[in-house]
Amino acid sequence: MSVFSIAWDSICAHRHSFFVAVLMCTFAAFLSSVVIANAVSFSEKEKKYSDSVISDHEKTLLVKPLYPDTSSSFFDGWSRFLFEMNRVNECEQSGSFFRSVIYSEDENGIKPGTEKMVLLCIDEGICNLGKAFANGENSKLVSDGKSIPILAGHTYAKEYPVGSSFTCRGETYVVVGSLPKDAEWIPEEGISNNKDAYSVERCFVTFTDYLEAHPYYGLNGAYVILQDNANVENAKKLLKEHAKTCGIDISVQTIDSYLSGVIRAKQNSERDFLKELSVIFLVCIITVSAGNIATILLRKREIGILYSCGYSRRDILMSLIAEAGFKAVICIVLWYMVSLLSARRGWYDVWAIASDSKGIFLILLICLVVALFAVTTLYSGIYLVRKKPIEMLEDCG
Amino acid sequence: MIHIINGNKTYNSYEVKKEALRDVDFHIGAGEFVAIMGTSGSGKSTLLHILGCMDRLSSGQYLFGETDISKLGVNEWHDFRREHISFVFQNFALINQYTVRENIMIPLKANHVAKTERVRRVNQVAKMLGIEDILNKLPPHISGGQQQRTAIARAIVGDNELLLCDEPTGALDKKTGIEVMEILREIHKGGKTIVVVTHDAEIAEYADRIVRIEDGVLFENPMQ
Ligand SMILES: Nc1ncnc2c1ncn2[C@@H]1O[C@H](COP(=O)(O)OP(=O)(O)OP(=O)(O)O)[C@@H](O)[C@H]1O
Ligand SMILES: [Mg+2]
Repeated sequence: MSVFSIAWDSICAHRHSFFVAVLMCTFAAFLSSVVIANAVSFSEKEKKYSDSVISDHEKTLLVKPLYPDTSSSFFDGWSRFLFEMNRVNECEQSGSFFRSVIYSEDENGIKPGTEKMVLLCIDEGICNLGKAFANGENSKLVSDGKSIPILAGHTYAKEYPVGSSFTCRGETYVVVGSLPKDAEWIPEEGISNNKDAYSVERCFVTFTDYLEAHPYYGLNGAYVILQDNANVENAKKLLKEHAKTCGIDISVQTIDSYLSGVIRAKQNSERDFLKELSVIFLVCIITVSAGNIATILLRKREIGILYSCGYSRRDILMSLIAEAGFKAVICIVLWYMVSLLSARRGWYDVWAIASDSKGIFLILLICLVVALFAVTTLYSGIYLVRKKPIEMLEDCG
Repeated sequence: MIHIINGNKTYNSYEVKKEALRDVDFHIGAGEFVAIMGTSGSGKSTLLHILGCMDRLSSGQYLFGETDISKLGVNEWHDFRREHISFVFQNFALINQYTVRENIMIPLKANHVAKTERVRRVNQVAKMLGIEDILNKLPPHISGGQQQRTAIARAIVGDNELLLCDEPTGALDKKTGIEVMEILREIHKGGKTIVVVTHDAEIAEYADRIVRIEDGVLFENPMQ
């Protein structure tokens, strides 16, 4: 008990430096948890993304617009790989991102712009639509909560009859109705006729529509991925020709080269992540250690006085450890509270501790903080108590 | 009570050998009031630190009563200091972040004295030294004389038999210095053994016995 009372005395006497040290350590812990959270959410999203490309539909062609503006990302400068990944998510969320799948059942290949060649736009518009239905805004179309209800474009009506479903990028879509030609769905109004309808609420358009929509969205081109088959060269040629007539810049790539690109990007980003992680951990380790060692060693004179007034080496060492224990507990509780608060505000992925991601990281991080406190306290404490009292009081005459 | 037999102390720091004490033979009887005088750098503090178990002899023997201090292990050495010796430092060595009361309490806490007893003893010595009304102040907010009284209060609160004072009046004006010496004389009358280091002959007059130290060599020098 008396060890704790010694520690408590010294915490009270040094409350300012104690407070600063706790804040420093909390900050360092946050920094690490941010990186971990980002890494976890990154790898999960990345996985979903490439999985869907590989397996969802056998005859899949992916059409993505080229990003018109890459400088708008607020992650720019934070880290290259986060920038890359978050740009994708950000664009998806803003609704300006089309990741689209072209279906073709024609053995003879792909003919852009024909009725066979249709484009399925999976974007924010569909999600909003689904949510709107789920909220009962359109009484005819209510979601069961598991799948996202969508309307099929008129060119699809036969291919995707009402009631059919499919999954894409890990989400299940159920066709609950179909749009007539030249129609769009508007949340408040329902289905309405509109010849110029290229809003994001429009879920199914033809490839021609898509190409026409490009300038409308301010996109400067399309990025098309073709599944490797006998007609890939033919498809490339057709797409290129079509692009020329439309005046749009289209990049064409086969799925194999696309996937190897994804894998390469993943490896690169993992390497970058490890680099950043080590830098952040270094910052965390240095901050916690320096803070703790400094607050102990700067009190050399005080500890020397306690020592020469009769405190035993054990008393001093144990009270330093008790004090570091207080510090670690306060630091971890603070960190946890702020994380929970931020999670309540919806910043789930920012703090590892509050995100739905792995608890193991949280435990590892707590262990790291505790270990840092323990090691640095023992190091500086033992360094001090090994001295003769008079060496600690050298500046005391 | 205390014998230093053939004591030597050599500092080896900075690659330079410095013989701070040379063949010192020193005896202090129980209940004596001894003053150690000498010029700056003569080895006064070194001798006091060795007497106070704050530092060790390089060679020679230090006997305290029946105990051979030179043979004690580190922990026993510290325990011995806690139980028998108190120190008053030249520059007070108070902890600035602790109140006067907390500073005085340090030796009692070190001895695991119960709280009520602690409070009683602190009030008792504070009254004796006339510092009751500043007990809740911090050392930087009180005068030099009050700081020295606090340091003395801290040294006597544990009731150890040997009190060592390194230049207890060095940082004080003449009048306050004399007050402090009067206090020490009172404490001495209460039966404690006191050793005072000073370079001021007038201050040394308060002691029963004066020894001189010059360049690490000790001379018994009763009354000039
Ligand atoms: N830690 C040390 N390392 C090396 N030399 C030391 C050390 N401490 C003291 N000395 C030297 O030992 C000698 C005696 O020092 P000491 O402090 O005992 O003198 P003093 O008589 O107390 O002087 P003052 O009146 O100035 O306090 C001095 O020459 C000093 O330089
Ligand atoms: Mg000295």
